[in-house]
Amino acid sequence: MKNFGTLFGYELKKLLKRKLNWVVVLLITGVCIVGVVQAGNSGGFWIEDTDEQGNPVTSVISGQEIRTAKLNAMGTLNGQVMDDAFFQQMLEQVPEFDNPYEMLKYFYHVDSTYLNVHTMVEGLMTDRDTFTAEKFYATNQEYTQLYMDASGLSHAEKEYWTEQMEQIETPYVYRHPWPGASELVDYFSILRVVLPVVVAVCLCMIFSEDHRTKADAIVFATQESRAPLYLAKVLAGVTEAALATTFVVGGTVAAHLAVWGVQGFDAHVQFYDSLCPRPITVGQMLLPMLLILALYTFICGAFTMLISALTHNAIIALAIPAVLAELLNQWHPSARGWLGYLPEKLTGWNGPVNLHLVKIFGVYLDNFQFGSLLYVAIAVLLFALCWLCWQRSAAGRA
Amino acid sequence: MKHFGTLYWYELKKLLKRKLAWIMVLVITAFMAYTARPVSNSGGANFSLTDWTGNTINKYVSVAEQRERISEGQQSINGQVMDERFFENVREASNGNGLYIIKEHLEQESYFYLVDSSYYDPYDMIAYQAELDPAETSAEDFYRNRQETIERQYGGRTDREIAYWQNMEAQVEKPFVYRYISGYQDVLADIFGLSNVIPLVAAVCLCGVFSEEKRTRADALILSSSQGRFPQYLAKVLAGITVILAATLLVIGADATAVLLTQGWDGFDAALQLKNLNSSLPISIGQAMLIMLGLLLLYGLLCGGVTMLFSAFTQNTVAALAAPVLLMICQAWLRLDVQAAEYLPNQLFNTIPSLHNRNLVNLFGRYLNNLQFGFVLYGGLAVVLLALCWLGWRRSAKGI
Repeated sequence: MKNFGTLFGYELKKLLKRKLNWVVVLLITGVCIVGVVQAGNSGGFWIEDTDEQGNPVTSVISGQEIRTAKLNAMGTLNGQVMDDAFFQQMLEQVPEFDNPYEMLKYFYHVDSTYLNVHTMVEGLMTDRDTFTAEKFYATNQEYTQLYMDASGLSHAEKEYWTEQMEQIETPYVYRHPWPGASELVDYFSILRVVLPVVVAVCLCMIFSEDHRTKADAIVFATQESRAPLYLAKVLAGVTEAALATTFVVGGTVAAHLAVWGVQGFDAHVQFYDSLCPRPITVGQMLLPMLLILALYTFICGAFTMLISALTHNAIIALAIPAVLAELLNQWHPSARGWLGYLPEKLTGWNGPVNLHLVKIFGVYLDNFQFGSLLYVAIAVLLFALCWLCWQRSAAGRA
Repeated sequence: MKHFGTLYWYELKKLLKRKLAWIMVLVITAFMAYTARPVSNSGGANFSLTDWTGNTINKYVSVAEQRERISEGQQSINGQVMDERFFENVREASNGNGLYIIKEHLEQESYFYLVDSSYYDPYDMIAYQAELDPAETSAEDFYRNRQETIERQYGGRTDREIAYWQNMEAQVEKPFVYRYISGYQDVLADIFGLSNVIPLVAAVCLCGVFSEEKRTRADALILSSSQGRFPQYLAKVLAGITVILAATLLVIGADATAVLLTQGWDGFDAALQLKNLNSSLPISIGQAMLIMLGLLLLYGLLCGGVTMLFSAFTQNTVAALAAPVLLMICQAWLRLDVQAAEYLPNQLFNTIPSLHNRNLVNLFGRYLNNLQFGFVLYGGLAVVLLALCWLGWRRSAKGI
């Protein structure tokens, strides 16, 4: 393993010198940033309205108005205890709406202070006059229990989550959740397709190029150097994949922070999704999702390297992961059993509310914890298979 | 142009002999056909209903059962005219036919899932309108509300545009006839997914069309005579068009056939308005499906054009495979607030807004709606891209 650093540096240089890799990574990062910034001000709602003469008209609540309203609401209620007085104040301030259009107009054109709280209680508030904080917490708990029943959780799993829920102090002290959370989680669906293609472009030639240029005859000349060379190639590949992920994911996250601000990561996740029984903050919910996205990218990188080592064909090594990633993104099975560990299920909106657990050596792991371990194991397995294929080609040449 | 047929056939054979393309297209086709069948969602919901004598029915209804009930209901009222009598039945069903205590939306849903699902679909159609309550809506309310919604959408349009849509609306037959249209509805819902895989199909099939000879160093031979360059280019492009049209047809055909086989072929001539209530297009849902599939076919051609262009200009198969795929993925999340953005595939193939889009394009004094202009635009772009390939091909010829 002497001069391993030189070998690694050489392999990394080979990857970094490929112009196409840089073009693709920078292009995608740029498009991600532009896309996020545009999405922050686009969209909106069409609402049915009447003009001053009483004629029916369609008006628009623009994306920019929605964003401004959400940002204006940030912090206005922070620190207030969500007790009867809090809800009473909300009921006094927010009028009763005859139809959804009136509600949208009020929150986005008049006052957005209670937008998030109203969204939280809307489904639980059957009767405005008798709505109390006690009812809010009781109904919330009942709905979470019903959700656990409907998810088919075992008795032990329900017990685990009930214990977790007990760690959440009630009454809640309100903190406005980061308004970009839903947008970022939505964006993961795009990253789940883009990242595999980006790493496939970067790594599709890693094992096939030596074969194409016939340099492998020299490379395989000594038996001792095979393992260090393989390791150098794999490490260079992982470094390249990590770089590409950092650029694309980092750019996307930075753009979201620029659009939606940096406040609200410390808000309890229940202010983002009231059914979620995890005693964590919005930031603690997003971090494991980002980690899993990065691990998924490594799996795709390892898979690309495996195909590259197996076929010695860069086109095949690029086409197969790209097609599989797109098909995987198009497939929407239910999140039961092992299917709950698909990238879409772990990094999608239902990731934080998937409550199935896995018991390993007497310790319960939630879907994010077990998912991370599983992804690392799959990546290691793929790298091991890659070594076998590499050895096979070495044997063919020797 | 002598022996052009031989040239064309030779180029076609080269493309058809690529195992990777075959495998990928077949995998994508099989996947689309597999996922086209109804999703076996897990989960469900508890429904509860109490009659006036105090007896309560409580039952957990799975998502699969819910879907089955809705389908049974749709079939039981297939062919009924949506007139006052029809809406009276919807009102009665929404009130539990006077037998059950119905106060909330959840109890209405419970009635449909636990007792009689016949009028669930029209109930849902009415409930979706913010200003209507299915328990009180008459036929007059329903059609008036629809008309008001349509008139609201005329806001900000010119008189000629309004006249265009009024003329279209006049051709929509009313009252509607309720039909079971699940099959066509599901094919239309699949259009967006199909539009995501078509760029992949094009890239995999055509990435090597101009660049492969460069890689194998056969280009020096092929480009040696200047007379043969144009027929060769034409043969390559025509072979590429043949392959991409066949592959696209295979993928969309497999998906549509799988859906219609599982959901039923009935309802081709049903009014499009049963799915897109506020659309003024005087076409049936079957015709809407054919139009969207036709647009997808043209989109396949456009993606083929992009792939061949990259292949011709970069002479690099990896770049020709990656670039169109990345470009198409990137467009999927571009959200531009301009009318032109409606023609991006991510919006044009989103059938819910695109089938009731009221924006028109004035082309040489004639108004075209978004679907008609979509055909013109995609067809025109495909031709331009294929023509541009000639420049790339010529450039590489000069290099030799």
